[in-house]
Amino acid sequence: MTSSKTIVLRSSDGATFEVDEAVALHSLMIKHRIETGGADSTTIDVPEVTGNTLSKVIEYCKKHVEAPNSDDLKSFDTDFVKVDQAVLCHLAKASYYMNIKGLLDLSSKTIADMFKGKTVEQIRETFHIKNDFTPEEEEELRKENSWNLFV
Amino acid sequence: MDRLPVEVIGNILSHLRAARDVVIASTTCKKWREACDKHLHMLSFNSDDWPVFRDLTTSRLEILITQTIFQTKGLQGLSILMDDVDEFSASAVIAWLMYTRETLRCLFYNVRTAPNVNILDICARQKLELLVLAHNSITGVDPNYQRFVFLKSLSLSYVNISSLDLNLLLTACPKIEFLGLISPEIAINDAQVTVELTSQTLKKVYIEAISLDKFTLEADNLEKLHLKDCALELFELSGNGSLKHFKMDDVSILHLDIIDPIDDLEIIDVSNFTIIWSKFYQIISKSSKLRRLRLWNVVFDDEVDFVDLESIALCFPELNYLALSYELRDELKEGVLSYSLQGSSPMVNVTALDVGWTVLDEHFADWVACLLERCLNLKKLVIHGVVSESKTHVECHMLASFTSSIVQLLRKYIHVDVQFVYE
Repeated sequence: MTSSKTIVLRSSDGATFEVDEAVALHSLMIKHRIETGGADSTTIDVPEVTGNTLSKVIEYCKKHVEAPNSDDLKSFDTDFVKVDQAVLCHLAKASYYMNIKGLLDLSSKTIADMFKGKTVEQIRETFHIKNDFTPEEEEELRKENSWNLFV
Repeated sequence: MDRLPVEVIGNILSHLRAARDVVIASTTCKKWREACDKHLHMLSFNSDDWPVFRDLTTSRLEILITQTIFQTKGLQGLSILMDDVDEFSASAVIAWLMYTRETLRCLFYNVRTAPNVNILDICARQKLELLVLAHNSITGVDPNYQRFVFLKSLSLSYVNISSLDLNLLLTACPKIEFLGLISPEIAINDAQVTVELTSQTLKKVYIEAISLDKFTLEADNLEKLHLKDCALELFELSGNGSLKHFKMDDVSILHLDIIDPIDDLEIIDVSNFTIIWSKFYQIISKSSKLRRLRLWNVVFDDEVDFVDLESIALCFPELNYLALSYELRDELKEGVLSYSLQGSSPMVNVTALDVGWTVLDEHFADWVACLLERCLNLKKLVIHGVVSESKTHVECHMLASFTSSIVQLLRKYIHVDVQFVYE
């Protein structure tokens, strides 16, 4: 027996998504908002997440709430994260703010796998990270760290 | 990436786990450094992660591990699995554990420490939920002082421990759900080597490579028991009838005593086991809810013993997976085969069937045919065969003959998905 109650989620760019309450509750942040926000809270703002990302997050929650024991859940998850780096980062950020542990771990693990065996320069390049250490700070890092002999 | 909150970066680094990769990532920029220092929850030093580990001296490794651990704050998981290291010095290990113990939830450690470190002493009364320990000794367990209130999973491999201490350890873990024991060195108390374990909360037990005169397991909430490569003279299992999954692989038990209503058993998986079928059957026949039954490479103690298909069909109506390997002794083959195939009660719920031979003979295909006749709703059939490297002419002929028979047979079962696995 599924409750027909739906919740509307509004992204940072104003896009709205109507979802079943059960699906929305997969996000502990939303669960908390509903429980503390009173009975009339049917529209919930999610300002940290854009429409595109929110739509993907909802897709994840839907699958995990509606078919949590299905055999293809693993392959769903594997395919779900076959997206480009930027989308992955948005998913990680969104799942952190919306407190969806499964999605946070899934996206974190996928990003982590991209790091394996890379050098510092390779990481900076792949992920467009700006080196904000001063040369003195870098020198100190090098000194205090025994790993640096092999970095 | 640069707009990710530092906690998320910490989470990513925690999934990266391998210490060297984590440290390298942390030197990319300040935010990543901060994530490593304050938001890293899992760190591992495994010899498989980085080939250079093998080239470092033990003291170099100790320094490396100490420096890296001491840079973190709030570590929840620590894994030090280094197979090539002979031993770490006690002072280093004590330092790592004392630094992390207040927040540590899971610990994996498999290196000998010299002199021996009482890891239980250091981690007791803290937050540990999972402990995997190998190649260390555990002595003088005191449940009053050493309580592991949060420990759910305990795995001990190649650990020196007395049977008394093992049981005391269980009582020190009021919430323990999983116990894994691999090749323990049980100190001999009397002339007999006995292990008696009691726990109201244990749900799963895995025991490998143990040889005992007597093993008693009293676990009222046990759901899964898996024994592998064990030699037990007497094995006593008592509980509340909660056992669902019973697996034995390469086990020899002289006296099996199950003082437990095992009506709820759902899975029985026995391989490489010597049994007296009638006795074993007596034990399992009450498990009417059985869904999966596997009897593989089962050696019969009694020459006239055999697996009686009719009893299986009648006793286990809910069976949906059956795996039987074909073992008959030459002298009695014809007689026993027809006896074991007597009756025709169908096994309507069996959808997957695994059969296999170690020595192929001319009756194997007929035996498979009888099984197929009973399994009216079969969807999948896997035929396992042992094929010797150098085949004699007789063996080749037998294999060819079998192939023809099975092809003929399977023509009647075209809706069944068939697979062959030869080794």
